[in-house]
Amino acid sequence: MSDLSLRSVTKVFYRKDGEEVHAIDNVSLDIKQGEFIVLLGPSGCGKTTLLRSVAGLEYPSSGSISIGGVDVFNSSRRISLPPETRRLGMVFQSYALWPHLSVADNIAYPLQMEGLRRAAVTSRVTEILEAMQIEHLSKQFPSQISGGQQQRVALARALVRGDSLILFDEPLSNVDAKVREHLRVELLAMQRKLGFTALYVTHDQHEAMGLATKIAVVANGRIAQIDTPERIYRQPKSLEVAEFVGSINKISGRLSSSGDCIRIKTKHGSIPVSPEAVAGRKEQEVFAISRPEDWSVSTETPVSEESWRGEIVASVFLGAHTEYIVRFGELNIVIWKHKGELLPPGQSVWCNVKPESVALFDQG
Amino acid sequence: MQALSQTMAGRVHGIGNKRVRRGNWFAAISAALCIFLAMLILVPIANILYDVFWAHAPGASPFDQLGSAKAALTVLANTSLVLGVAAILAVFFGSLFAWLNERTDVEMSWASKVLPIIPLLLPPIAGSIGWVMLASDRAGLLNVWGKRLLEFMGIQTDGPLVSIFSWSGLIFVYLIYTLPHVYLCVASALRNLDPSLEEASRVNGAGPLKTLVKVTLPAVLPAIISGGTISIIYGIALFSVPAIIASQAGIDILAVKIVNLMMAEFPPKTGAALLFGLVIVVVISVMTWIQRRVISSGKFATIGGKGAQVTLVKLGWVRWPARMLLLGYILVATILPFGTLFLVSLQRFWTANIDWSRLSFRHYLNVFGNSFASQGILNSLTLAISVATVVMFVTALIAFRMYTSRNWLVTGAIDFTLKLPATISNLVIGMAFIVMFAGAPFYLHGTLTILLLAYAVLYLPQASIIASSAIAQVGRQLQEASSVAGASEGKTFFRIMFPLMLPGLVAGWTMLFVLLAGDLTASAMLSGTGNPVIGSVILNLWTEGSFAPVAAFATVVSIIMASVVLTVMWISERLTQRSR
Repeated sequence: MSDLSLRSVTKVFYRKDGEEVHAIDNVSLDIKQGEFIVLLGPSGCGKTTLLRSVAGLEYPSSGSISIGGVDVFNSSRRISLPPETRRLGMVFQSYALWPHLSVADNIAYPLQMEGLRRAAVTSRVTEILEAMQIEHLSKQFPSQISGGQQQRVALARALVRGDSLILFDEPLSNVDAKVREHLRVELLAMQRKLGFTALYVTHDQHEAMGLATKIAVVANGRIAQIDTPERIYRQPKSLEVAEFVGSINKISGRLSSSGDCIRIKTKHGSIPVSPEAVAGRKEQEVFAISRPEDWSVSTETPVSEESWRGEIVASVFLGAHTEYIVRFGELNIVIWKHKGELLPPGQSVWCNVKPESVALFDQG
Repeated sequence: MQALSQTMAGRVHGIGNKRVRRGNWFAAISAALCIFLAMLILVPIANILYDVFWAHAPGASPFDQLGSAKAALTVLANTSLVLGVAAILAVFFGSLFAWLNERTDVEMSWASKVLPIIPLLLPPIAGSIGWVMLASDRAGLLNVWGKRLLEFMGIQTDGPLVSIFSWSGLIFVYLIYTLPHVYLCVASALRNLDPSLEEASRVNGAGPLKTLVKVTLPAVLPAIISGGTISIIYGIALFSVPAIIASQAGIDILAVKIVNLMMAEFPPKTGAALLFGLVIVVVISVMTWIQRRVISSGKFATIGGKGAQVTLVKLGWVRWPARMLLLGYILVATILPFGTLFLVSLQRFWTANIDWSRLSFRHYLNVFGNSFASQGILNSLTLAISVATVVMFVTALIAFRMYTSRNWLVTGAIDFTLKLPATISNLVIGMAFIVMFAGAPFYLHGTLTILLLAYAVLYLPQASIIASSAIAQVGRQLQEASSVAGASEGKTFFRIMFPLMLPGLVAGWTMLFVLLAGDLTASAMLSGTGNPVIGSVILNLWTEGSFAPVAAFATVVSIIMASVVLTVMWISERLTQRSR
């Protein structure tokens, strides 16, 4: 049984000039109990609208949403449960902690709404405060604690009722980088321990990669691809996904094969590709997509004829790796090198890419 | 599963689920309140329109009651002249003061707090009387003392130095009370204007004056125009100032004319009064329309998020004259008239030849010994407290419902109706209430109930504007978080939204309280000997010519108002600090 299921969810709204905009465009999605799904996409792609539709804070134009097998929204059966009956936790981007209630009262609120007895509320709140290691903050007000602490309180409030589905709306975008890293690890540990299903919205791919069991890349109101982080990165299904996730080098060329040897012929040289990448394509115009770390750069004259000769136009030392921009005619290629001496701009170099790491997409 | 989702579906429509049903109960009460208020606003208006234009006896049409067209036109011309000149001056000085306080090193931050609340500190009725005592032709303190000073310096003068009972005197007092409205508009526009626009102009070689003319003024022009329209809207319905000053100066002003047609004539010339009232409705509608057009056409560049540091214009030698000007206004609007009231109240009777040894508090004792006057204060305070509380709470509730509602049509209709009394103007509402409730079948003439109902309707627009802005300041996610946490609408309102709106509501309550307690427009028509209120007591004592007692009474009232305003300002400042 899937814990959360969306069927052909569509949300249409009209601009002032009457133009029809599909904020969510026919999205279907099934999430199993205990999965951690990250909706990843640029701002304005519809991921937040999708999340809010699950919470009951937005109303889709059509489709159906069910949680734990129960329809909470179904346009054809005219069902639309209000948010307070959907029994899910949610962490908001702004944390949305109530400034007039103390930390303990904020966390107790969902339990009080359940009608729990005072003693039961207190013991459950203490339990979760301890689990989140914020018991010393219980009497503080939200304005008196740091951003990272507020984030923990928001998470505690979302988890306190023990709902099986927790929604996250870019919860880490307001804390600084170090705290974010820390909270991410903690959140993951919490999810593994408690086993809730998580639906998490972000535009940060590192966050997505670090958290997700599956990433759903959202673009223009549609799910472009849903897969494990590794497959999203290594085997993007579309140019759109490849361009959004990570950095890429996009080279235009013509696919040609002579015997065993399959190549992309470009103005600057040719690129070898693996037979799997060709996937039944004939001789045609394609984009060859490769990642910066799959290229090698060297000052020595190579043995292989697939090496390209270019000139370094910029070299940037970034700590873990060095980023080179290498120019071949009017084409610039980004290359990340992890070791070796820093090559200066103006240096002439030989570069090549591993055939198995090149993906192809049709042009046009 | 199918069955379970069926029951859940049933719950949405309110069958059998405790939580959902409670939400509906909350919704039902809000809906009932909306309908009640809408009826209270719309029915009397529809009733008076029907009465006057359709149900009149032959030959008694409202146009017959008007009398000579010339007299009617004179009233309109007088009113436009006074309002027009006062509004232009108010726009000039109000904008100037706003610029001085927000953009220059005049450094009078206390003035920027006091300026907007001047009409609340010293109600127009008290201010007008104070100014009459300062500047009437023969016994005005300024005239008598000024002349003596000149005589002492060897200068002989004929006639009064200043005269409040004149066109300029009348315009002057209108100016005092319209200026703060312009100030408030322009100052808040300046505060929201991105200072980097002005900095860019300075960096690109324009001096402070050129920057003001080329960049700052055009950017806040919408606010300046809207300040002007607000001062006209406020001024045209203002009754207390012309009631005290214009009548004696022999200048017929619209607001006074309307009240006289209703009160001084028997039988009341309701038709003529309504025709004049409709002029006000038209003026207010046009002004509101202009204001909306100007605001929506404005291409504002406003600060997003964090407040930016403004580089202040250095005034140099102009700084002291600028300070004097600001100080002069505050003096003229508050301290001078209040001081005069107090001084006169201590005398046996109003005279500029003060016998300092014989000053006493006798009038204070008399005023409070007088059951009519003390009853007036008691009634006003009771009405003001109860109406301000109820109206503020109800509008907060309705604002919350409108905030969460998805039905734009209904929300829009409610919003329009609640704000309608502002356009209809207090004078027309007052008339409509007399016609509707004073006689059969309600017989509410001379009761507190009719005042209560009229006050509630009159101050709904202000209250609902305050409530909407109070709720807009509470982030939407706070309300959503409560819903997701399982709270019904009612719980969300009482546990989350209401407490968070409280600082805004408290400030609004104060404003309502002061306006209500000092109300004269509706009170002049609706209160009689059986239900005196502060405004009508002052007017009564004034027309009787008991100047020293009226000064005593006005002093007490001003002190009550000012202390309420200042106390609540202090409290709400602390409240906002705490919740941040």
